[in-house]
Amino acid sequence: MKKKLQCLWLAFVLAFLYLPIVILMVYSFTKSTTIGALRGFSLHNYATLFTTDDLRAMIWGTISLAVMVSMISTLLGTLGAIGMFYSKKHVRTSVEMMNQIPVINADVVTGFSVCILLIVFFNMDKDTYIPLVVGLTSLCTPFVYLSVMPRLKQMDPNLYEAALDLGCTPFKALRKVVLPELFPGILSGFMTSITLTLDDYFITTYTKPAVFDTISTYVVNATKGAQTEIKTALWALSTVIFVVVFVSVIAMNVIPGGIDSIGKKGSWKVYRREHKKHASAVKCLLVLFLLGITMTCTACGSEKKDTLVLRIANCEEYIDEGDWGEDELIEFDNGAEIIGENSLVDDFCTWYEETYGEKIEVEYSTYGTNEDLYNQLVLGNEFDLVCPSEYMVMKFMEEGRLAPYSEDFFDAQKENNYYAKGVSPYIKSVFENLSMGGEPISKYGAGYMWGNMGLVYNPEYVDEEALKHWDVLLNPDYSKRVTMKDGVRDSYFIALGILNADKIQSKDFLEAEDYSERLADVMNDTSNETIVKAEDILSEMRKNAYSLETDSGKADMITGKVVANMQWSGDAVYTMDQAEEDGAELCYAVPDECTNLWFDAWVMLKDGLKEDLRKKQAAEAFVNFISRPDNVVRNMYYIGYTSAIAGGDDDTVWQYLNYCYGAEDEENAVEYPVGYFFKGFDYVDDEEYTLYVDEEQLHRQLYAQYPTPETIKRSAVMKCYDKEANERISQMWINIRCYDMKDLFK
Amino acid sequence: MKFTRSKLAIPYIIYMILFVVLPLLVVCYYAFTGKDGKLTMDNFRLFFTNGKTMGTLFYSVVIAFATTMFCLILAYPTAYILAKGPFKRSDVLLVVFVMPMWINFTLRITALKEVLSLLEGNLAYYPFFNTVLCMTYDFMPFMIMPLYNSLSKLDDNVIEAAADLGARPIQILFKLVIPMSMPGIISGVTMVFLPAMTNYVVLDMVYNSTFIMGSLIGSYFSSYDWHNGSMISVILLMLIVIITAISSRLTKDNQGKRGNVAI
Repeated sequence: MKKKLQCLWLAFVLAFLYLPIVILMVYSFTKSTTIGALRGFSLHNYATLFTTDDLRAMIWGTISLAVMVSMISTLLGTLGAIGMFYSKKHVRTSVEMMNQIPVINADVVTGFSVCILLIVFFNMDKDTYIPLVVGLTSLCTPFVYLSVMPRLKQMDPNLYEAALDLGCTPFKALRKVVLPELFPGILSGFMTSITLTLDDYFITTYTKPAVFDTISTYVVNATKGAQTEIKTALWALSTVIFVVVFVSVIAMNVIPGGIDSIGKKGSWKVYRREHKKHASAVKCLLVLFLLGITMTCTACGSEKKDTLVLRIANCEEYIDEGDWGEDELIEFDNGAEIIGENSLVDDFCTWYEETYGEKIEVEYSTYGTNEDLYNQLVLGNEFDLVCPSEYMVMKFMEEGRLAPYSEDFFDAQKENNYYAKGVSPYIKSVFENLSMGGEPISKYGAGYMWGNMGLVYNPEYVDEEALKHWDVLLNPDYSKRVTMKDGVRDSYFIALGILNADKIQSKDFLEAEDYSERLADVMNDTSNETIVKAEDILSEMRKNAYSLETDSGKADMITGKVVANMQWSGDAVYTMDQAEEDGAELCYAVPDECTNLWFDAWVMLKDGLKEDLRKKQAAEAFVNFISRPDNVVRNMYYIGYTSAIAGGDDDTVWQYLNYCYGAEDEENAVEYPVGYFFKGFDYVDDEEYTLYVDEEQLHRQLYAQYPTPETIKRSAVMKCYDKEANERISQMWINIRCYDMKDLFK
Repeated sequence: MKFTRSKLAIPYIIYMILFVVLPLLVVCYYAFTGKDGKLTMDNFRLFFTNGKTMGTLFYSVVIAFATTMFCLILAYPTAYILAKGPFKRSDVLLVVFVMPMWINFTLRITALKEVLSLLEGNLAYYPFFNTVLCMTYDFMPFMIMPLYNSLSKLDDNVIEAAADLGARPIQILFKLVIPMSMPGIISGVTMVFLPAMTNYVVLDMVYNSTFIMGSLIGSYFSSYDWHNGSMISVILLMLIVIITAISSRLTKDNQGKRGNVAI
């Protein structure tokens, strides 16, 4: 009876530990995208896992990092333990206290402190991988020490003396007698380091180069993103890891004479044999170690000298990476065809060589948010061409980081100046009217993508009347079923919209001549008292929201778990497209109060170019190349955002619009004017640029991609906060996410 | 220079001083300076006078406490059965219980999150419960290990003797087994408590957007506010010192052995 109860308990705990993993394993072999309904056997997750370059690079990167860090830690920790074992007692006690620090310390603090020392204090470049390796090594070394020390204590102290008496040099005695004795401890320390490194998230995030990901950081980013394919591929990864770990761990424990028996002394013969085995194992480790060192050295030192290298940093998934399927071919009425075979970056290299007769190499890297980019620049990374949002462009201008475009670049007569020829008159006027320190943004920035901020919603679950106001996010009817963006600027803007709703919708305000200027002023208010009021609104919003996130899964929207979701227009298009594939219809609305007009622009950085005219020419050529109408269409198709390029005399972009949204049934079609974008605001209702579309498009992708002129009118650009306001707003944002003591006493 | 064995430790000691002790000193320096580089107590004051940040400290302690209790309740009987039960220290069985440690925690949390979403529908309705559940799931193997180590050292004869002398099972448990396994409990608690206060990724992943102490460091880091971020680190360090002081009073064997399992 007692035994049965005990078995039952163990079974219960085991179920708790393993059930989730096992369920995930089962689902990894199916077509399902969420846990719930099982949908047919398939191996496609495994195919994705082993064929996606990104994933493969990440897995190999993680493993090589773990091996390298573990080897360094094992070396340091073992030497430390041997040395300490033969040191005076009081030295050993104090060193062992030091050894305990990383063991007990929270990983967040360890990672943060290494980051502060190496990256902030000593200004070390993250891209050298040194901070990452150093950080992880300082976590692992103490564990090696802890697993080697007990072995030393168990060892017969006379062995070493005997070896010396028999004529060994001290070094030889250590190598041939002590080291083999310690081998099980060293190996277990090595394995511990491996698992610690594989499992670590915090030290890695604080010290890793922007382009490098380990399994942990990759998984965390992937679960925040909306890419289902990657998400389910990670299920396959869990399965693979589980099986590998399971088999190797069980094998080591079940096979008779496993590692534990290695240390036990048998007959002299056995000892000799074991001894040899260890020596070669140690040699192997050494070779691997040296290999690791040389690998990093070559990685660090491989700077090319002759070819022109252009360093571009862009947002993640923000350019056409090619590799389209054949069914994705875009075919216009006039017979023109567009398809992305290679990535635009590769195509640029080819094009540049053909056009300018010079070889070029592009180092293309990505970052998550504008703040990440800024962080990277502050911490010493160098780029030539980057693509931040409007407020970050202004901040860069204020700090004097930018190099202006040459006059030649704006000459619309030249054949290759696709940007000057094609930029939308509307975007051009926005760029010219927005200034920082007396200079217009247009001097430094070339528009890439633009859009506004709105709500993606599921029309089945949410009342469209409620969506006319931003305070739908505060509506208790939708408690825990709306989401807000995990971004302080967007959320603060919405809070201002709610705060000033009555004011900016009053008749006087709407009909004032300087309506746009006044709206911009209201929406850029960063006075202390406004921030305090906004904090209250946002606190309430957070309590009402399902979560703060960078990307709400479309699955949650389709099932109605989340009914409305604060979203940038481009992401909204992507979400709606994805939902459509699953047979659900989501819509996009922009509340009546106001919306945030944003745009991303390519800017050249002084620190990167270093007044190298060849580089500047190449950077401008890159902007022109991606502004070429066919490339514009490729980008728009691939990422779902709206390009700032209208095309000028070339009608490819206009064709693409018709291709996407033109109504098949012309009789019931409604007019949708986009003249403002193609010809400017004086041509709002221009016949030539009026689309005929299905009525539903008024709430769907088209509306998100090209807002109506009325929506444009109530858009305001959010400028960059000044330093002091920025600090207060950041603190406010932290306050909102904190647990309020007041809630405790309610 | 003559070779002595103790000199072998020099690289290790230099490394530890440079990259373990020095970073902490620099963090302390940053915590007590302002953006202008002058010494100040502002960061300290900001933390302790703001109801929101204090609330976060409180909330993290509550989460950590609940997580530790859950882990203990689940892990103690498990470790006891493994060490003293019918399976008599089967290494393989023990390994099965601690094996989740070798699987990346982000992947395990993903798995649990998927299952929870299926069961609960909307995770946002039970944020506290979900957080504690996920943390317990994540950290339990770290609790089983030290408990098992100290329970398996416990001599069976002592228990038998107590029973022979007339102690009831309950008495044996509270007067003998638990006190004797105190070192294991303490080291298990130190393995779980602090990570549960700081591992904000678990929270991020289960869609709860409330901050714990670790998230504060994370968000100060992403707004490049090194000084306030360092302050939080210093506060956590003080907490560690307190915990260590308490545990070393309770037991001499306070060596934490996170992840250190005999394979």
